[in-house]
Amino acid sequence: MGQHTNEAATSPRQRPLNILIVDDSATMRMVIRRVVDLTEVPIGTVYEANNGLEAIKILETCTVHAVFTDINMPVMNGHELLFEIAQREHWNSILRIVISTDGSRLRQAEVKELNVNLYIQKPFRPEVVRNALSRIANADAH
Amino acid sequence: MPYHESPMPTPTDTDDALYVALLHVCERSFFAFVEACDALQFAVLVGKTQSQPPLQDVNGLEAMAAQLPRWLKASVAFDGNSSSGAIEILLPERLARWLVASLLGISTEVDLGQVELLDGQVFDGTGEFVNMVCGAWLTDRSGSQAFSLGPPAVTRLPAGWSPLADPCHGPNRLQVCVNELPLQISVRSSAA
Repeated sequence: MGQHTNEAATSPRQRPLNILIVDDSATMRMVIRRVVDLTEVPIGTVYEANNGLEAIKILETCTVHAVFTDINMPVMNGHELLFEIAQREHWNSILRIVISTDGSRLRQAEVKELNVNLYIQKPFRPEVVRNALSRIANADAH
Repeated sequence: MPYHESPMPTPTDTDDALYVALLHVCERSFFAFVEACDALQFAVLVGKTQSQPPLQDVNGLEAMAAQLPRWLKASVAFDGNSSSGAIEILLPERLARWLVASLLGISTEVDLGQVELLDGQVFDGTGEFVNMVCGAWLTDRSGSQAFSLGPPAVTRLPAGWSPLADPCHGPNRLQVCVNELPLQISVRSSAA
């Protein structure tokens, strides 16, 4: 999938965050990318993956600081992706944000066990993602 | 009583829950205005939709026929703890284009026909729309129970097709007005 670099957003105070957006809907990837671009958090490279397997390949070859993932996806779903991330020690520091239509408490509890930092249910207001990313990135910087 | 305690909701419960889910999704992510409407109001809206000019300037009868107002059918299958089935949404392509443009942050102030989107974007975005509505509805119904959704399917219905002539009039069907355009949503349930 494509990648996009936002060089203008770099700040000497915080490291730019490389983001990976995992969703089988190109529209949703575009929406999340737009919201991410609107944050005041310095953003480095934004990678996109169509499913969990594509995401793993990107994670194995690129430096990624935060993953936004859907749950319901073909090939490899978000739960399987998060499980894979949790299994690898060198990926422990990756921030994990789930954006899913499934808002059930059971699903949220399932992924919470996989060290998910935030669970956002679709539909979401853009500021929810924006604020969450700012909060997480600021906490990560200190 | 919460929906997750009632595995087979009555048509009225389903209508209310669907309406709330649709309202939630339209307002939160698509910035669209939803109003309830009765069968007569819906028929009037459908009539207006069918008589609207084509989305693009065209020359020739064949090209014009291809540009007649078209409807899209978007559906998604679901499998929950208490029930399974599918949600189906019927909407004019004009409305679908507006919704997707709005989701993507493209200006929708211009005439709806001038919203430039590729067919693939319209289909993918409309699939995401039905996905969100189904997810919101099931989350409300299921409470603590997880559910799974199939991949959304979006098809363009034949030119001249109208929901008023659709023979599939099930009990779990809701007709609403979204941004002054008609939209019909229905649930086809099957026992889990």
